[in-house]
Amino acid sequence: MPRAVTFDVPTDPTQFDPLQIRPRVLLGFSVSALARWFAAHVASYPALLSEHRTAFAFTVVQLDYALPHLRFTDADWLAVTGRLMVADSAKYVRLTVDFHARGGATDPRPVASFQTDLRVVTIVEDHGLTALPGLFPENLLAKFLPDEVYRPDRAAIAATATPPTGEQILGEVSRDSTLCRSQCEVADQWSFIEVIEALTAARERLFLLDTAAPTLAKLAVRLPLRGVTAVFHRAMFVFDTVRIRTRAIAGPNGSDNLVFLHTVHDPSHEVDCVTAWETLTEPAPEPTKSSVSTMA
Amino acid sequence: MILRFSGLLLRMVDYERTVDVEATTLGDALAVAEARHPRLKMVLRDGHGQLRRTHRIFINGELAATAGLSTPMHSSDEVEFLTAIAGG
Repeated sequence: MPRAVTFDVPTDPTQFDPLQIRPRVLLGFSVSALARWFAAHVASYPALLSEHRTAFAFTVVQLDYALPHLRFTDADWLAVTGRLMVADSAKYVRLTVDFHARGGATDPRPVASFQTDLRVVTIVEDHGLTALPGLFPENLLAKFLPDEVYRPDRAAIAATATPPTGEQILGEVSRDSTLCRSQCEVADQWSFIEVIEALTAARERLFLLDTAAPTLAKLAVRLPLRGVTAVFHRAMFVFDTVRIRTRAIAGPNGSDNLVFLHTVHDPSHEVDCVTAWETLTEPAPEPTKSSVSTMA
Repeated sequence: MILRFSGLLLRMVDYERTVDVEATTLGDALAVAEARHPRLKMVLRDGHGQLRRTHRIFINGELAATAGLSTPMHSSDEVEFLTAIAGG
């Protein structure tokens, strides 16, 4: 079993919307778990960049909510548990994070899980922090335990990165958006958290448009998020303009869920940068002490 | 000809999105821009003065995968530098 880092965070109202804990909060704590794991077992994140010339690019990001969704008044604390493994090729690391609620009626209660595969990159210069695909440094690989080295299952990764299919109920709606610095990270490269925020905003914006049927438009904002998967193909940077294309399908893979499919496109160079899909589902009944649901 | 910068390169050129230069090769054009903005050279070139592979070069809107410092340029050309990956 890979070593874990754990930390507790008090819940506060800025972390929640009326339906659930916000994705950006969980994604932010996931990155914090990553930084804590590195600091505890390998090297601090800043030292990885500055001393070991090593950084990471998010490739596939997956956030899944447990049912029923946690609401703000359900719990006093959020417990975060993060684990990290390195691929035997040294090209990737895999972060998994589990979130539980504590201090509520159904203590502890699963809230969500997060997983991402990060491509290891090597910093080639200090001024812009530009990088090339690289390998995790050998002297740092030695700090991983045998249980923390994995062999990537390419078929499983490909399956995770394949968008669902189903009956299309909304044709493509497109919107251009220009990245500002508040959406970017240390190298002026977009933050994956802000990308997912932008996709959620694109979906919610359907509620305000006449292009979606009223019923669908309502569902786009009425249903809580069950999960989101994003596949990153290439990065964009501050002041770049992106085109977010959104469409919707119903009942993918035989389920009752509603899925909003997004593509983040670079209109200047005609390439897709991100493929992502949000799954929305009817809220589950509130839990009682004797009926705590588990992750699907 | 026009050199166009975006993303993290904007910091290196004091946020001038375009730099107008007269040159007959890409290398000469860059040298003019680098004289005006010295930090640009440290990001775009390696220790041997060659272009780093961290950037993609577009000439007149087309990806120029084989473009190098000796690539000939015309006064009407527009060259864009795109960063592929940055650390974080």
